[in-house]
Amino acid sequence: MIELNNVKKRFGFRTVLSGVSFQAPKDAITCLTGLNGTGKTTILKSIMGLTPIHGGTITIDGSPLHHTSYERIVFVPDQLPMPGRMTVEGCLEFMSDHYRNWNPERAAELTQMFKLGLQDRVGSMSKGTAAKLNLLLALAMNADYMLMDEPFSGIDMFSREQIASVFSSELVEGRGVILTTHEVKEIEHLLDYVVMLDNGRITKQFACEDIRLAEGKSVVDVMREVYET
Amino acid sequence: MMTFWKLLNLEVKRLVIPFVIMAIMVAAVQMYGAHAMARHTENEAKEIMAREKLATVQQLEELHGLASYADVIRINQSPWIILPIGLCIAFLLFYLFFVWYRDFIGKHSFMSRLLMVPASRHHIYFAKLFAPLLVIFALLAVQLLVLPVENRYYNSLLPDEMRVEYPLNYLISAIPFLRKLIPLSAEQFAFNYGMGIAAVIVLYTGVLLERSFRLLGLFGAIVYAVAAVYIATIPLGLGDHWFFYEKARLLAGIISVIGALSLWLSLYLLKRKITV
Amino acid sequence: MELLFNNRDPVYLQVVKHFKERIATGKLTAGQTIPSRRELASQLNINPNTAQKAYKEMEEQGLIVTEGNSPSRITGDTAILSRIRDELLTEAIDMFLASVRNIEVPPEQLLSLVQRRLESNRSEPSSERGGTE
Repeated sequence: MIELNNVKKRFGFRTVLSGVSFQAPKDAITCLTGLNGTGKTTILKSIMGLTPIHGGTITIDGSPLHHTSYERIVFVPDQLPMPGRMTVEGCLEFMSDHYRNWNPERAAELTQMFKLGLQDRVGSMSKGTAAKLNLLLALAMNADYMLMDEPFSGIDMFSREQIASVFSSELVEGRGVILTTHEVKEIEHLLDYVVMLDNGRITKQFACEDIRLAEGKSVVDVMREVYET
Repeated sequence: MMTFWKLLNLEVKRLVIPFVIMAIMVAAVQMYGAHAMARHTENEAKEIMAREKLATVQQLEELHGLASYADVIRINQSPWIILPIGLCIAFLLFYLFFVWYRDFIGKHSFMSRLLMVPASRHHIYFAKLFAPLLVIFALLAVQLLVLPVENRYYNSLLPDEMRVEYPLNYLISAIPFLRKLIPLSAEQFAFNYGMGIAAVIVLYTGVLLERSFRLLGLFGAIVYAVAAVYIATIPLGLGDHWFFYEKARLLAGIISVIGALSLWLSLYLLKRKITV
Repeated sequence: MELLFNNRDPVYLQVVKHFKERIATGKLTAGQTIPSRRELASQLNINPNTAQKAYKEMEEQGLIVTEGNSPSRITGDTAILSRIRDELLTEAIDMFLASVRNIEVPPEQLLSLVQRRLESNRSEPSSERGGTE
C-alpha cells in the first residue's frame, strides 16, 4: 500500500498540494484525475522522491522511500526519460545494468509485441513509439507498484488501444497501479479507485464498483457532479 | 560501487566524441604551428646570413645562436599552441554546466531516470565529476605526447646543422600558460588541480542550488560562488609579515574546507531537494 | 466473447450476469471449463482484479467450482443451474412490472397485450431467429 498522509508542497510561494491524503492498495488500479495543473503529476513525483515535499508523510508498505525502493516501485513519466541519442537496445541495457529486478525475457517479448526496432534512436521516434518504449521499461521490471503519468495523452488511437490492453493483462496482475489522467471516459471500466483533485486538494475519492452499486453512477457522472458544483 | 562504474562509463561515453575532436584539433593545430615555425626560422636564418654575408650555419650560431623549437615558441608565445588549448578550456567550462543541464532540459529529461537508479545518488554526482576530470587529464597526456613530436617535426624540417634538441620541460617552461597547466613540481601540480577540482565542486553546488530552488536558487548560487571566491582569496591579501609558504598552506586549507563543504551540500541537495 | 459495459452498474456484476445468461441459454453447460481469470480479463478488456472479483462472486453463488489448481468449471449442480433461468426471468419481469406500474393497467389486459406482442414478434423475425435454439 502506498499511503499519503496530509502531504503539502509548494513551488516558491505557490501552494501546489495542500494536505493530500489517500491510499493506493497493491492489487488495484487507482486513478488520480482532475483538470490540468491540479497537482496530479506533482503527487507522483513526490511519491518517487523526484521533488521534495514540505509537510506530511508518504510511505510505501509502511516505510518511507529509500533508494532501494526503486526496485519495488517504478515510475513512467509522461515523456520517455532517455537521452535522444540512445538506442532502444541502449535503453534496455541501461535498465538491466542497474536493476536487479529487470526481466530480460519479458523485455524481449514486449519489444516484439510493440514492434520496436533495437537500433532505433530515442530522439527520432514517433510519440506513440516513445510511449510504448516508456511503458516497456517499467513493465519489464518485476516491481510491486507502477506509477504512470498521463499514459494516454498525445498518442494515436492505435497506440492508445495497445497501451489500454496492458491494464487488462497479467502485466498489471498483482501490482498496485497509480495512473493520472484527465480523460477517464475511455478507461473507467478498468479502474478500481478514483481520487479526484482540484487545485491541490482532494475533492472526492471512492471505489468505482461501490459507487456503481450504491448510487448507480458512473465515474464520469460523479466527476460531472463534483466539477459542476 | 558497480553503479558508479556504470554511470561513469555512461558519462565518459558521452564525452568520447568531444574528446577525440579536441585531441585531434590540439595535435593538428600545434603540428601546423611547428611547421610554420620551422619555415619562419629557416627564412630568418637565410635572411640574416644573406644580410651579414655569412657562409656557414656555424658562423650564424657563433654570432646569433640557433633558434630551437623552445626558443621560437617562447619568443612568439606561439598562438598555435595557446589557441587550441584555450578552445578546449572554453569547451570544458561550458561542459561543466552542460553535464547537468543536458539531463534536465529538453523533451527527454534523463535526470528522472538517473535519480531513480536503485543506488545512492552520490554515484550520479561522482560520475558527473570524474568524467570531465578524466577528459582533462587525458588531454594533458595528449599535450605531453604531442609536444616532443612537434619538436622533432620542427627539427626535421630544418637542415641538419640548424637542429637543437631540448628536453620536454624546456618546451613546457617556454610558455607560462602551459607551465600553469602542467606544473613541473608534484606539489604545484597537486595544488593547481586541487584548486581546480574545488572550483568545479563549487560550480556544481551552484548548479544544484539552481536546480533545487530555481530562480531563488540561482541568486543563492551566485551569492555562494562569490562568497567562496572571496573567502578563498583572503590569504592573498595578507600582509608581508606572513611567509609565502604560510599563505600557501592557509590557502590550501581554506580551499579544502570550501571544497568539502560544497561537496556535502551538493550531495544533500541531490538527495533531498532536487526537483525534476 | 464481446461485452459492452454499462458504466453505471458494477463491472463484476455485469460479468456475473453475462455468465448467467450464457448458462440460461445453454451456451455454457454443466461441468464445462471456463477461461482463467487472466484470459477473461483480456477477452473482456477488464482489469484482472475485476475478473477475480467476478469469479469470487460466482463461486459464492455456487455457479462455478474450482478444485485445487485445475481450471474453474461451471457447476454440475442442476438445481442451481435451473434456478438461474428463473432468477433471470424473475429479474426481467420485475423490471418490466416496475415500469408499467405507473400506467395502472389491469392484469388481464396486460397479459393479453404481452401475448399479442410475443406472437407478432415470433412471426416476423422468425427467419433470422430460426437456428439459435
